[in-house]
Amino acid sequence: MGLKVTLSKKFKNFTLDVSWELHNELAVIFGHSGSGKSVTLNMIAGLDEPDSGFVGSDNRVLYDGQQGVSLSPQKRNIGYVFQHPALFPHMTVQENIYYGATGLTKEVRDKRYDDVMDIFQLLDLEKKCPDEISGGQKQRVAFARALIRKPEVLLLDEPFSALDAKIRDEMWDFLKDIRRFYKIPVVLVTHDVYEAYCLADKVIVYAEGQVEHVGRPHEVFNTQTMPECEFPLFFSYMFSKGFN
Amino acid sequence: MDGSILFSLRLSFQVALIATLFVFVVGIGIAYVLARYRFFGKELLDIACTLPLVLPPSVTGYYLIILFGRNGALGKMLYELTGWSIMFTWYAAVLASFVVALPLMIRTARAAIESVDQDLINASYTLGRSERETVFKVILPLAKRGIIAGTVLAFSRAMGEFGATLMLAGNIPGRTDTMPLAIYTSAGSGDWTRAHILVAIFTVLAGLFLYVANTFNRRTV
Repeated sequence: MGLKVTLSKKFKNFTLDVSWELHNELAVIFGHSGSGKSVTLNMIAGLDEPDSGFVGSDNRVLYDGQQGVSLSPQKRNIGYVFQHPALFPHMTVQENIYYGATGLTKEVRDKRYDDVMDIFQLLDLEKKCPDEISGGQKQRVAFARALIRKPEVLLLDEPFSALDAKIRDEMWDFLKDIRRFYKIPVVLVTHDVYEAYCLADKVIVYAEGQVEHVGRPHEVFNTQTMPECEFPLFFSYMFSKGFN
Repeated sequence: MDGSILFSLRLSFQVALIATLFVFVVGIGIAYVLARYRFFGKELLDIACTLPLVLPPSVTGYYLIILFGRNGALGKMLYELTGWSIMFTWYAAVLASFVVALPLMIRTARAAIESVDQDLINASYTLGRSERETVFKVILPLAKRGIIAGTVLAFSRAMGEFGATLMLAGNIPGRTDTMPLAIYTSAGSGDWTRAHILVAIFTVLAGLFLYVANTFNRRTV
């Protein structure tokens, strides 16, 4: 399992020009707002089209600008969890998760449904509507919905940024479970240094549409390569622990 | 109640219902295209679909005569093929009501479709659902209230259509005299009792439709 990404696109305010590779690991794309992080995810998922480049997942070409290949989002089999959970408000939790189970037989769907309900501890919530559950529960449903189809890659666009610290810690544990069960490349976009430091196998630092650093968290987040990082890292850590 | 009043009432409902059925299907289709796609001529399509809302009904009727009259671009072809003309039939009243009511549906449904969160649509696509499935399972259910409001407004407008209907279908008692036309005839001929009854029925119905449309629209916008 792996993901290979080379993307180039000219926007009004900046040019995105990035290239990186990922094996079966969790990569954090880290950078300030407007550095091209979310656009990258959209392009991998097929929701946005680059001017040129290449996106390949596990020997399957999803996008190749030179060959004129561009699979639709439906055919890419990529799980995507957005910053806001994007649950369908007119469907129950169960219907939301079933909605993600495209192309599965009833038996397979029901088996996988039981699995995701168990992993994400959603059993009591299946008949509830999204407006009846909490922010953390919504995000767990969004994960379950994205994973029931067993995607080849999981994209996460700041899914924990709207959650308070305690729920965020719980979600980090869920993310570890996801990695254990699904064994697929995960790309997490964040601008939280501490989150990037704690979760990443590999950190890809974006700055103004370019890749500035790539490496293990301890290689990237040190004061030699990123002098500005010491203070935010310390502060994020202290905030997350409530200064206890 | 006078048989001719009942006829006008029944004809008005019949015309408005059929016109609204077409408005529903065509209006949602055009609203979806205008809300979700960028293409050459989009502005022109938008203007052409909205024109009947601002043009005097007589002008809309005039265009319809040019198109569907026995010597009109489409009407001539239809007459040569079938020997039938839509002019001065109740079908013409349906056509006039359809054209005049369509913009109300398009504008209301378009706003409702545009208000559906793009993340929900993207989520549906990345979950492997086609555009068609996304339309029927996500977009239209979430735009439901706006669509219902548009349907009720279009039905009310179709019920009240006068000018274009008069030009296209004429005012033939017992054949094409819908309620607004019957009111015009009654008032013109001094039959005030009949006019009073028709006006009272119409006012109550229109008030009721507006109440329903507002109820749904308030929850959407």
